[in-house]
Amino acid sequence: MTEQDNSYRPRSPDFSTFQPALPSVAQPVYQFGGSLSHRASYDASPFFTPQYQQPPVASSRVPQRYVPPYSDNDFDSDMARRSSRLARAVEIAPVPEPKYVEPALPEEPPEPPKPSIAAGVEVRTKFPVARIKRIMQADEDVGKVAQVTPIAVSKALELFMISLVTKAAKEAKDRNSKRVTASHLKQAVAKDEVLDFLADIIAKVPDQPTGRKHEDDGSDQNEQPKRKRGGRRPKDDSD
Amino acid sequence: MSDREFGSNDDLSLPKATVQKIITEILPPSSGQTFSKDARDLLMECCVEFITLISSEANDISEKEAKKTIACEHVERALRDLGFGDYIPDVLAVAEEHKEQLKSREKKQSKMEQSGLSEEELLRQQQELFRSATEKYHSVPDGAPE
Repeated sequence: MTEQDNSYRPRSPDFSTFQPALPSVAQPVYQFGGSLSHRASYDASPFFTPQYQQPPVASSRVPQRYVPPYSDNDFDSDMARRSSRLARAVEIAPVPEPKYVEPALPEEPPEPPKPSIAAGVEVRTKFPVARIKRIMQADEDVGKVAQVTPIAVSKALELFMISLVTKAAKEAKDRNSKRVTASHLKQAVAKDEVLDFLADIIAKVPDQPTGRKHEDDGSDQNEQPKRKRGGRRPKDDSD
Repeated sequence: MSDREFGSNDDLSLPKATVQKIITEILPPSSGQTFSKDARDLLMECCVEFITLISSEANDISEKEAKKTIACEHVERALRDLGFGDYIPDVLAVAEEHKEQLKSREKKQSKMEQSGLSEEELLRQQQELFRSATEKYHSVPDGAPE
């Protein structure tokens, strides 16, 4: 192989520089590569001889065909679809939107009610983006905010809410309570290290606001924010 | 960082009705569980705190990069740093969706405005084009088989 290279080099220098880029050329197994090297032995520039290129190209070329951009059917169906869409829009328009819409800001048309699945929960209701932005910018350090940012935060908030509500509901369920209370939410928050930033807020919540008795030894309520998981006790609501 | 309070300012809280609605979607009546009012109020406070936390963190990140505007990627990094990495794929998907929407809307608007023609005029021109194309198609003697 290298011997061949050396023998070619003086005759066709540009081919030898081209060769390393195409490893297949060097392998005799490849018919294409083989023919190339043979050709190279008597032809200095096999790529620029038109006789070799032309026959395959001519045979493989498909005669150009006129394809009309719009056939009759396309034209008709397209128009029909558009008009039916308009009709649908008119139908929908008078129905009052269930979604909260900021009246002052026309920035965001109501998003299509695309079901979003997060933790197996579908939430169709969206937060008002303008309000989210205002809450973000209530922090005076926070300056400008890109247009997408409140939308991204709003989605994150939605997921955050789903996680909190589900956890609180589980907390309530573990205590055989059908009513999810603030103290359930508090316990759920206390269990999760990621939610430490809510410590100040949940500290305001009394542990048993409804005065129900629910733990035999309420010792783990005040001092220990981290209760053991699976504190399920059937004795819970003995009343 | 997280010791700001907005409890007193009603304007800087989330709309109760929306929050209640989302709660009901998460815990439908069929689940047999109800979410009490005090829990909802607490949840709303937590949500506002969450927004504040995320935006404050994202702000820090953007400032470190000497950016003046908080972009989506800053929110993304803030979520990851704060332990909410699970949210990122969904958040990015929504952001991407919004960007696409915005792009197509802008394109449509600019095209309409550049033409300087009324919508009826544009529609008429389009139909004229369709008609001429159809005629051209039919006038081709042995053209496409389709």
